[in-house]
Amino acid sequence: MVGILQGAVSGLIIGGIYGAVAAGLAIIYGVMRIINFAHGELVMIGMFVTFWFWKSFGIDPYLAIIPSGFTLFFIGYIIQKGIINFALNKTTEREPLSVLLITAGLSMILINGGILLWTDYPKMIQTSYVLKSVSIGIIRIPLARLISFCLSMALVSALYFVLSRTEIGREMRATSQDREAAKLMGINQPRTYCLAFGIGAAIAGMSGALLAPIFFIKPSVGHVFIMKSFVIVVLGGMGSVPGALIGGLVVGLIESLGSQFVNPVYAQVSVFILFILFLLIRPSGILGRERI
Amino acid sequence: MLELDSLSKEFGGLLAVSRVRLTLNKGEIFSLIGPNGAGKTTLFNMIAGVFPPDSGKILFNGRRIDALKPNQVCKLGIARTFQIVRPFAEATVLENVMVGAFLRTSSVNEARRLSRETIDFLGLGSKMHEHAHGLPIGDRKRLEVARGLATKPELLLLDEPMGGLTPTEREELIDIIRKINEQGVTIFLIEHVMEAVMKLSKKVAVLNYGRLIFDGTPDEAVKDQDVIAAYLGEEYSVA
Amino acid sequence: MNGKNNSKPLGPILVLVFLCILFAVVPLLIKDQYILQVTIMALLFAYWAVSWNITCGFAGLFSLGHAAFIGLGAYVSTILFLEYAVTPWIGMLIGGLVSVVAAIIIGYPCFKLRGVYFAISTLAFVSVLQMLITGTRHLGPIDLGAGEGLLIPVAGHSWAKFQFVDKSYYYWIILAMLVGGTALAFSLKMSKIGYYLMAIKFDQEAADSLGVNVVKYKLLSWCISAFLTAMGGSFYAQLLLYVAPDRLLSIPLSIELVIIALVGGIGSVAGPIIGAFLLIPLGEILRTELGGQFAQVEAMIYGSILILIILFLPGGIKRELEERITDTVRWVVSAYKSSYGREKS
Repeated sequence: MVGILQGAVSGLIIGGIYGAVAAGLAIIYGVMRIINFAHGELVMIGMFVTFWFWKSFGIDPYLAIIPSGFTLFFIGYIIQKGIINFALNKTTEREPLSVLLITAGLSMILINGGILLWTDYPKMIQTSYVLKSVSIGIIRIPLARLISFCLSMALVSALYFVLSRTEIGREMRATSQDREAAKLMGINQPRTYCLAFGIGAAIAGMSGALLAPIFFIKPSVGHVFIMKSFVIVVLGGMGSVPGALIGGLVVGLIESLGSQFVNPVYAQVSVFILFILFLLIRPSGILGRERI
Repeated sequence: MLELDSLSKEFGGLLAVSRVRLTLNKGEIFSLIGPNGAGKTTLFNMIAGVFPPDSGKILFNGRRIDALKPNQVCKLGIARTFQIVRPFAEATVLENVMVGAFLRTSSVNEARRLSRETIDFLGLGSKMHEHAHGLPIGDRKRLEVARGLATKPELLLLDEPMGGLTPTEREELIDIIRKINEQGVTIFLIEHVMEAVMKLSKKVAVLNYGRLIFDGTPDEAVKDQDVIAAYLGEEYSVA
Repeated sequence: MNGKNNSKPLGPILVLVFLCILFAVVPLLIKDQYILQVTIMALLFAYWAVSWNITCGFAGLFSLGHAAFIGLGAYVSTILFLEYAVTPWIGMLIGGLVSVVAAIIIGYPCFKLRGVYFAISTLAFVSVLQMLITGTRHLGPIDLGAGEGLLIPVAGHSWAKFQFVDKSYYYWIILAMLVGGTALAFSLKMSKIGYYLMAIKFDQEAADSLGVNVVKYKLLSWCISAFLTAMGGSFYAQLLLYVAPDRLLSIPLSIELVIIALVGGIGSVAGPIIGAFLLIPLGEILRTELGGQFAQVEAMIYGSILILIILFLPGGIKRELEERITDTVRWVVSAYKSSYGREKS
């Protein structure tokens, strides 16, 4: 019984962090209907930025959230402005296949560029608290994971706040609902798109900073996050930020609890099967809404 | 030939088609008119099998077809065109029509032969090898008709074929439709352009807010009080 | 991008025959096993790209998961050989059939998904297969090899065991497969099936209204593609004498053959072949120049090519060449005509 409870809590903890990663993907999809295949690599870059700050200056990884966020915002903005906007102008598809392929190409470039620069040997950040655990009742939670989880919640909440309360958020929501109408209302669409991708990338980068203390760091790590993020976004309702969080928690829970009873591989496979089922039957996800 | 029995269809609480009863006889040209949004295309979509009616029956040559899918409906002998034409953009005129022709044959040569005939019949012979996306709207409308005709239908559903055409093009298309009918194809026409309706149809039905408000000859239709009331205040194209 | 010039099919057939003869002669001239190996890989990827194109270029079913069929073909024929001493020739066919079954189970429900979503579901398919094989050592009494993979014992030169020391034999076999696959693709394209698939690709609903059973024809192209691709997987297993999930059942492999087809030109039969013969030798040249860093640079170049092709040359190289050649010919003809006309008057 304790095992199950422990498993559930671990699953929720890591799931919440995955949810933050997926929230970045959700906003990019939500505003532009783009599926960002390079999202895992954006997280990876965030992890490396964090690692670099820690290795070179001894800066605590959690403080590296800020530079990670800025770096990835900048990178995301440039990618959208330089490449994706160009592709979007040429297509009439609502969910352009061409952009999926472009981001796939980007992903290949980023992973392999990373391997060339840093090799694919896994690196780990050693902090004073990485081995500490916290006890809540009979449950033990590694301290770093707990901190990452709480900050992930904060990150997603902040994103939600930006979306629902700020001018930029309003523009993004308007664009997501109806590109043409938003244009007519004077919203600068290309700029909104760049902001959306930038923010999505920034979220990815900041999640990377949160993952860096608890995950191995190597250029090919993105693959883990991208497929999981796809699954989470579909489960949570495509384009929905709160949905991404819920989806993340669900995925984390299933993988963790599932691993208690069956081969962990089968737990992961069942998540994918759920993914396909939702794609086919309920694309609006658990929450039943397709909006940001 | 075609019997619509108490057809109804609802979309999200809005009754698009309400208890419509119609009968088309073989060899006729039958027109369906009515203000925009009256439910005409919805009716066509149900006949063509795009979605089933919520209630009611559709009988074609005595056989119920309301549960059939579009490709099955086409195989039985009902072809349809779309209000906003949907050519296979990057294929040529000939290739487009051949897709239709293949319904009745598996031989490429036979399909090509039939397609060439149909294309000439529709007056598109000179454009046979041009890509569909490069054609002007008038030719695209003809292409749409040719494609449907190549399936050798008994009944042809034409959804606003006159839309976007110049007066000359309209004359030509009216002529073509008449010729198609003379070949033995029954025509069910949705139209706004009254000239075409008056010149072609033997019978006219008028739909308003999903309900059938008139069923009779064109001459009677223009004098009918309900029909006039339905169109009062509506921008209505006569020329 | 898919206009069929079916008025003169003789031209492409002559070219094909000519190329066959040319290619068949190559191993007799080139004894260098390395160059043979490179050409074999080019032929194999051309074969896979042609097979993929049957479902994507013809019917518009964009699959990013074709490596699943490669893997299934490879694993089925290998396991049948290792566990039950079934000759890989038969194993190849059975692998193809297994892939068809898998294709139906996965593809069929996903057909209703549009473009990108279908592509993503195929990604899930490949990922699941990769995870399952990597994480499972035994399926009952059968050893699946898990992450380490399975080794096929070297048997020297043996037709029955589908193994040869002299690479020329592999060369001829894959050449035959490519020719067969291309011929099949070509005849499909020129037939009723080809026309119907074209219709489905451009406008599914319009096709439906013209009597095309959309699901049936999608399934047909999907299954044919799966079958052919899987047979290529079996061939690959026999070439390497090794199967492992990290390469065979990987998304990067799927994407690689998609890039090859895209570069050459989706929708045409010859396009994928052109793509393969451009990119694979390019990769090899890089390998010899760069040595250890090769794999990463090659992948980066592939990624860049993918982006460039999508942005600037979405119809692929073949189409671009065709248009340039046609434009040049037209220009030459009109220039000739105008100068001739001037002389006359």
